[in-house]
Amino acid sequence: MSDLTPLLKVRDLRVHFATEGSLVRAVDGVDLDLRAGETLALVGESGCGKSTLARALVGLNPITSGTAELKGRTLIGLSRAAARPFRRELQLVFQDPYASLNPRFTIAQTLAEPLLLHGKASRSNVDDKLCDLLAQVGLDPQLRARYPHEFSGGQRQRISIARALAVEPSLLLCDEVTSALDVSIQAQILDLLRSVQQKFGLSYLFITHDLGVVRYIAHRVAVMYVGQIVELRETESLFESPAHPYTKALLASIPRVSRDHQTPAPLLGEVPSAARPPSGCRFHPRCALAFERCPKEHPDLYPVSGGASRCFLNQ
Amino acid sequence: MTHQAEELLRIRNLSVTFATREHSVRAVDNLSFDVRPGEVVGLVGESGCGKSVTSLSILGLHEQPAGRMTGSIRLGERELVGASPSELRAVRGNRVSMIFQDPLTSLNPYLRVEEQLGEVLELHLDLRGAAARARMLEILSQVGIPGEERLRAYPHQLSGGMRQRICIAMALLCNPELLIADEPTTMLDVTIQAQILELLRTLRKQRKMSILFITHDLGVVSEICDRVIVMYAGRIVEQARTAELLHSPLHPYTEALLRSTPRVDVPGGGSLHPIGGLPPRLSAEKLEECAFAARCPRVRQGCRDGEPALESAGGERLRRCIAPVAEMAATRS
Repeated sequence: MSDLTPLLKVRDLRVHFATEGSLVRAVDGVDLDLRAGETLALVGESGCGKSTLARALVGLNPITSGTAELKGRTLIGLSRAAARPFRRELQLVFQDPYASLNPRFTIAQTLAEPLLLHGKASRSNVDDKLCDLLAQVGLDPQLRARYPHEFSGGQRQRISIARALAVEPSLLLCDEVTSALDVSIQAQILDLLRSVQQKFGLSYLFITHDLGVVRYIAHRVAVMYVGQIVELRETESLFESPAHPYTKALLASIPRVSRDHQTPAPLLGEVPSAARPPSGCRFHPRCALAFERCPKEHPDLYPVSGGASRCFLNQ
Repeated sequence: MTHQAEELLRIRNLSVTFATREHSVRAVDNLSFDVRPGEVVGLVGESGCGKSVTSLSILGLHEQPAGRMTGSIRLGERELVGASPSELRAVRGNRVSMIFQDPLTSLNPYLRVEEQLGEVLELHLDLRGAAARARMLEILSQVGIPGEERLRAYPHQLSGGMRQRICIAMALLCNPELLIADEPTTMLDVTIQAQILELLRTLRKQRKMSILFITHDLGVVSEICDRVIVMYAGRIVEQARTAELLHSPLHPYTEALLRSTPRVDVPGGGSLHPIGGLPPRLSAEKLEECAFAARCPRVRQGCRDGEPALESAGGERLRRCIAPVAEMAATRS
């Protein structure tokens, strides 16, 4: 991987929502670099801010402060017209392929719309283009006159991916794209995403709660907890030697087929609200290793092998 | 397990057929299995394999008469197929209760926790007032929710894990002999899933309760089930003790499920082998070949000559395959 300017560069990004009587710090100071051709997984439990972060990058959530640059140009504060080229570069694929395709559009219409809108095809060659796209995602182009309800979940997810690829993006934000699928179909979609990445040099920001999927598809992993990244590592270092106590607990919680009832004690308590994050280290109330410094000071990300961890024990 | 206890739940030749306008769909096809007292049995398979329809059939919960049931479901001495609504009511909640995937939609959003629990106590046990309240507090502490303040809460004020604990508490109020758990941890985060699985393990031990655990997740199976039944296209394709099934699957479908699941404990997530194609349509007609033949990487000529029978593979193991995985491996070496 080259050390040139990262494709996506995010610094101290914050997304706060004002609600009745409180401020929800959904994303609270995130730094990220994503290189061309790289898959960065964003993992964490419900409410950790991973989807909010992805949606903020494509302009679906307002950014409170911080910077986000794609190929060195800012993504923040753009007018609709100025934002359009970025919309093309950055495509979002959603979890539920039942809800994210227009039920009244045929597949041909679904794919023709972005092709024409972004000038990737003209009226005369749009049909050829969309047939190519369907073939690339492993669907028979002859099915293009059909409607979404005539396809299975896995096929619909292929259509969603084809739609995202239509505008030749450089970065795909994949938000739980395989979570609604059966494992046998999930494996097909993961293999498709891998092959598409190799072919087009695409980058993925891959949001998932499934750490098995992460280990299979990601080059690097960012673990989020209450709005912040607590560990950012190369994939194999994270799984072989997790540094942050939260990552350790997360990995230990996953049921695995290779283990016969050797379950460690589960992590106690629940994820605190982003409206009232704990003082100091946000994980300290649930951390078995917490000591007197943890509730008082907020830890930085400290370098560990293959990445960084936000824990005083790694300082 | 060496002792052969009398089974609590005994299902024989259960078929469930849903009639639609054009054709009928046989969601469950000639299913037979048992659950013994105190045993946790996993029912595993992908969407549409019939695992949830099976569990709903036990409680007579799917739409009637659209879903036509034949065969037999016996709970102890009582036959449930064809039972009257009042007979079923005597079983539901009292002897068998159920928890679902989504604890938010299975709780009434308008009622406080105490009202939802109170309704069950009043209806089934005729408990009211202070006695009911004492029972509620007792059951809540058993599911790990201490203190009275949660009784006043509405479901939306509780987290997902907390809501599932409430559903479990509600299911346990009448001390059921059998708990049917339909993907109870699928919507939960892994750390909360671990808590709920730990809770179910503890409750099962304390109460000697049987659990029929429906899931698509073989990792979850390894955490809680004694025995596993794998379903495909409405039929059982394999049954085995949990460790046997996970370490040496006999049916190619079980093997394929294991091989298509990314592994957290193997570098690179292991190598994935997707299962090509899609499951067959579930018609009411007799199959002319093995239901998995079209997708099976080990398919051979004989697989096309009619559906294989579910046969014993020693002890409690059952398999519906003429060329089982482990035996193939043995002949190869």
